[in-house]
Amino acid sequence: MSALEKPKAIFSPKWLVSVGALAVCGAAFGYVTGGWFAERFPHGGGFSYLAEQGYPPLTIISLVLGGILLFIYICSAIVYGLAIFNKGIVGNRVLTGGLGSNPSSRKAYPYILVFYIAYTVVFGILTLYAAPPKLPTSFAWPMFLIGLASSLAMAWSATKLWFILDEFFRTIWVEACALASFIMLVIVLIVATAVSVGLMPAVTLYSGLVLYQLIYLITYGIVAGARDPNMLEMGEPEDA
Amino acid sequence: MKNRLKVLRAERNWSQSDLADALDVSRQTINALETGKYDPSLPLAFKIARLFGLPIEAIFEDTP
Repeated sequence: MSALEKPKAIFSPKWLVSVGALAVCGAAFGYVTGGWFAERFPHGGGFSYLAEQGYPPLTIISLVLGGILLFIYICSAIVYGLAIFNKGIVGNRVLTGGLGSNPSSRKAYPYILVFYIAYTVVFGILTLYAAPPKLPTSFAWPMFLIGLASSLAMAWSATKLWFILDEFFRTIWVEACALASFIMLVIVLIVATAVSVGLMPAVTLYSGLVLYQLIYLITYGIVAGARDPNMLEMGEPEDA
Repeated sequence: MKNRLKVLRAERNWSQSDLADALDVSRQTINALETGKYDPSLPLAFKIARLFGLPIEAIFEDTP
C-alpha cells in the first residue's frame, strides 16, 4: 500500500479505542479526585478554600495547572518505564512521544524514566510548598537536599540522553527549548514591567515555572509535529 | 533542501530501516530527511555520501 493510499491514523479504530481509553481514565480520575474534594471541602470547592487562605487567583490557577503537570509527569514516567520491558508500548510511537522502537530510542528509555522520576520529585516538592498547609521548618533541609539530588539526577539523565538520541531528536529538543525560552523571556519582561509599575501583584517563582513548562509542552508539540510528519501514527510508518 | 535519498535507497532495494541501521540513525531521521522535513548535519551528510559512494552534491540539492 503506497503512502498515498494508506489510511489515516487519526479516526482509525485503534486511535478511537486509545482516545476512548484515555477519556475513561480521565473520567475515573476526575470522579475520584472530585469525590475527595467534595468530602474535604463540604462547604465549598478547593478554590474558595485557597482564596479564603489569602492565595491570589494566579497562584490558585498555577497550583491547579501544576497538579495537572505532575499527573502528566507521573504518567510519562510509568509509560517510559513500561517501554523498557513492554514491546507493545515501545512500538506505539504516540505513547513514546515519537521515539518508537529504534535502537537509540530503546537505549534512551531508562534515562528518560530517571528524568521523569526526578522531575516529578522536585516539582512535587515545589508544589507541596506552594500549597497549604505549610510543612514544618524541620522539613526544610531534607526537602532541599532531596530537591537538589533530583535536580542533579535530571541534569545527569539529560546529559546522557543528549549523547544517546540521534541528531533528529536533538534538533527537535534544542528548537523547542530555544522557542520556549524566548517566548518565556518576552512574557517575563512584560510581567516584570507590569509588576514594577504596580499594575499587577508580584508573581511567584512557582507560577513562572508552571507557565514555562506549559509553554515548553506546547512548543515541543509544534516543533516535533513540524519535523516528524508521522508523529501521530501509533505504529512505525511505512516507507515514504 | 531537496535530496535523492529515496531514489538511491530504492535503487539498492533498501528499506528505511536498512538505511537507518547503515547510518546508525533512527528510522524517523531517514523519514524526515526523505520528506524534506529535516536537513542532515554535515557529518551525517558526509556519512550518507560515503555510504552511497557519491559526492554530497549528487545527493543533496540546495534550493535557494
